[in-house]
Amino acid sequence: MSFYRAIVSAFIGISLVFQAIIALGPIGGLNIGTKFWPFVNYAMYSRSFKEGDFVDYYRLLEGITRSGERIEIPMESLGLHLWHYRDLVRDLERQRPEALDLVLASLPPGIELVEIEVKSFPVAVTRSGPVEQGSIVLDRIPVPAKESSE
Amino acid sequence: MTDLVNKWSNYWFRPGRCFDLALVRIVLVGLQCYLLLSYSFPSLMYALSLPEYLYQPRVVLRVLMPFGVPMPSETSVLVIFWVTFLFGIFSFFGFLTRLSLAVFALLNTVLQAFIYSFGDVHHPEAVMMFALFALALGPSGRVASIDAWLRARKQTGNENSVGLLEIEEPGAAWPILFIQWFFPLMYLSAVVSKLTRGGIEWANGISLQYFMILEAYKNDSDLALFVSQFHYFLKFAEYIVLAFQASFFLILFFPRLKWIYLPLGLIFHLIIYVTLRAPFPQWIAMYIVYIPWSLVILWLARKRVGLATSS
Repeated sequence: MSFYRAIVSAFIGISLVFQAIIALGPIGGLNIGTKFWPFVNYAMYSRSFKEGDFVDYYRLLEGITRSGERIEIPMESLGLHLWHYRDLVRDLERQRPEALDLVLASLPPGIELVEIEVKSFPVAVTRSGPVEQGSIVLDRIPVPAKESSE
Repeated sequence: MTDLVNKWSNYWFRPGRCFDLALVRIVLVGLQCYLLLSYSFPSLMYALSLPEYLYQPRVVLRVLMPFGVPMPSETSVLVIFWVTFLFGIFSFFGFLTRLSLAVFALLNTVLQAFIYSFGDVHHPEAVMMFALFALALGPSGRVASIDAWLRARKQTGNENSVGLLEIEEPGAAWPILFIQWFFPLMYLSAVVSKLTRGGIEWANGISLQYFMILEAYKNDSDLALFVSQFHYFLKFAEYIVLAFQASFFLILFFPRLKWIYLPLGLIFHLIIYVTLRAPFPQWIAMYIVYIPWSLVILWLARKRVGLATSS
């Protein structure tokens, strides 16, 4: 076998075998996901649901000021797309200070928050289509007071 | 052992039509250049605007740059982007084809991996990376390229395209065969993921209703909202999806099935696009690897000549 054929054979063999392991791995409990991109499993739309499950499509952040005023903090105000906004909400719920700093930096000057609420607008899935459930508060994240410079 | 090596060689390194490979090169590189401008560029700009704490370089970047992958500057990303695009143009026209394709494949992988280093990973691009590397390793510029034109000028002093469709080479078949094999693995992965996560219950009608409703609310899609109301239709669609994805590999062993699977797959991806807004243009374009284009064109040409002589 020539050197060229050996290189090509290695490329074909490694690519197909590794992709096959990732593809069929879940049968044996091996879930590699997208860690080794571009070797990925193609699990898009693979979750199964049952009637009455909720589509938790959107979590909105709402800030509460010292005077009790409520301010919506949508993804647009943070310059984020939906999936990264979702990640930011997750990071806020995990108390990551970088996430909180990012939210606070996006606020107009002079606004000081005491708390951030994570709100959800769940929609129930029924055989005849969606049924909206109204909004619920999933989490409340306290905002530490700024240290005074005086 | 020798027998196995011979079988391997006879399968992968059988002579293939160079025109078919060149066509795959032109279509896939052309599409990737378009996607670079229409999708990758805005995605790169968006990625550069994201907070640095989200940046987790993907494994492929860490392999390519083992001494650390700091968050790149906007200038370096822009330089890599335009170099990638330039080599894409070279690859499209077949200038220094093998080198251009290798650089194009490598830099596309780097750019896409950077975009995906902020936590959000999607599925359409991965197979394109493999296809570009396969094209780089194969004789993709043997015909229909500037390289071929320059070679012909050297040999005969003028352009010679006689027999373009009939030129064969032992290395011209495997990149196409490779992509043909890669596709069934992707579809098998999709069906295995569904069945291992939720079992056959995935096809209960509700699962697709859920994704339609998600799409309807996420992107204000009236079409998805409308379709989400048809429980039994979606249940039927789920069974079709499972059957299609589980059996697509049959196309490798019974090539005539492509006349069923390819139109079905095309419809499948177009429906996903219009309802769930999940674009897979790379996958649709890559279906061309299942068609022996040179044979089809030759057959059509002979038929036309036959008609002309008989009249």
